[in-house]
Amino acid sequence: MSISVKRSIKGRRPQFFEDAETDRLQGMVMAMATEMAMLYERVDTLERVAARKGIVLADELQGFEPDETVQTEREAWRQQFLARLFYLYREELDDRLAHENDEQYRQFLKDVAR
Amino acid sequence: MGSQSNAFFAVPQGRHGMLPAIDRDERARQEFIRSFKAFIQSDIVPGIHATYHHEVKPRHEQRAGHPPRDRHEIRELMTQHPLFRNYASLQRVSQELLWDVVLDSIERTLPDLVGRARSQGKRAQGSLTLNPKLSLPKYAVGVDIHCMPGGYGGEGGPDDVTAGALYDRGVYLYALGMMGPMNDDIGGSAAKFVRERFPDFKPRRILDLGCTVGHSTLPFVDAFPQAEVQAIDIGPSLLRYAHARAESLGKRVHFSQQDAAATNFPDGHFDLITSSILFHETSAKALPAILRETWRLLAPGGIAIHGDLPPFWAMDEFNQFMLDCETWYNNEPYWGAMREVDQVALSIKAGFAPEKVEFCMAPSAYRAAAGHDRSFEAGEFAPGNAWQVLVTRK
Repeated sequence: MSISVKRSIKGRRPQFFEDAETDRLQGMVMAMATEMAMLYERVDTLERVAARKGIVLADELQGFEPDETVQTEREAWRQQFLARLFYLYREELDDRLAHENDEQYRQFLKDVAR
Repeated sequence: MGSQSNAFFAVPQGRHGMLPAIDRDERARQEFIRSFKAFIQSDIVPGIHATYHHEVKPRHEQRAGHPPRDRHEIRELMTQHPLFRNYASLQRVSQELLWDVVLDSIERTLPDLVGRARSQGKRAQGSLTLNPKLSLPKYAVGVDIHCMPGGYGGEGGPDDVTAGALYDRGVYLYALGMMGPMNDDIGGSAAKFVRERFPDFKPRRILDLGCTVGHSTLPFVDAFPQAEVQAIDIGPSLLRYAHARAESLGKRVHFSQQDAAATNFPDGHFDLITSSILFHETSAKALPAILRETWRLLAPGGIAIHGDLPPFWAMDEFNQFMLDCETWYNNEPYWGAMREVDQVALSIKAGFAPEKVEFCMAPSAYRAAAGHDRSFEAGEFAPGNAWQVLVTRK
């Protein structure tokens, strides 16, 4: 099956702060917060399920040595994590690739309201 | 800062056969974004209202000798304020992340979703008619409306259902429980309004314009079980999903890919025509054309009911400005302009008799039943206890 899923948003992104870097930073902070919330739930679930079964995991977790497979899997996870962290850069780059700009959006508003 | 009366409600999404499966991490991310949006509305929006009324407006009055004249002047002042900029940026970021986290589960399970849509279609009681030759209206596909990647016309390949799955889950998270577990409160409230206001009305054929995933269509199937229900939209991926969703819920609806301004139905074919939050996603040219088409399609004695958020005249200038942020920051090009249009005058121009056109409030069927109480406070999507409806009769 060849279905492509689009991630970028058509329509020029507005800038909210004086400095575009601040806009990007806000996106990154919230993407990070999303991942932190997800991790919090994972750890919380782990502790609750283990406790329900009367299992004490602390010593085993301390002594855990990742093998090559685990390391590869973790690297893949980190790459995916970084892709989300830099999502606004992808948007910016895609806007440029699509030659979208503020003037086009203004013109589009005018056309639609006319 | 969030007031008790305007709290949001964690309503689990209603199940049906087409919702994408989500794993635990996807669920955690989605719920976090939903919480983030609720936090902005409950804890930041009231502060932005206060910033205007206690700081920006008095300062302007002192300097200029009069309060800001309209939403445009308020916009010029507010966009200089760092707190407002931060708020607007957070809204945009929450919207972008909303779609992005929902796409994870869709992308991961797409073959399964496509398979489910196919098998629902095989034992269908309703139908699906696509028209690959339909030229999609520019107002609907010129930008990705409300920043949904791919937009309403999105079609990633044969049998794609991504746009439908993304809309269904995304809108559930976006609506913060205001549209009920099935995202159907606008349709549900409009159907209830028609039944209560016109108790003897027995429509034989019903049409839903701009149905997206059919979430607002289905309450009409329940309210008028004898009627044949048709629903149209422009996106093929949306409609495949809508068809499978309706079938999985055991509701008979005939979906077809058509432009609401020029359908292929005969004159006078329908007794009841409806649309839900369609008008603000059209254009200055399309809206009158849709009203003319509604007039053409209605049988004598027929009723049309269109639900949307309130027009600007129904709120103060600051709420107008806050609502209008969607135009500038959320790819909703007609959001603001539509709220200045005189829909009553347009309906009369389309052929409806003046005494048969009215603008009224349809009380929220879901929020009344659930005992939720809210007052209108513009931020992003924050309706009060009723939906604005335009009711026209032929």
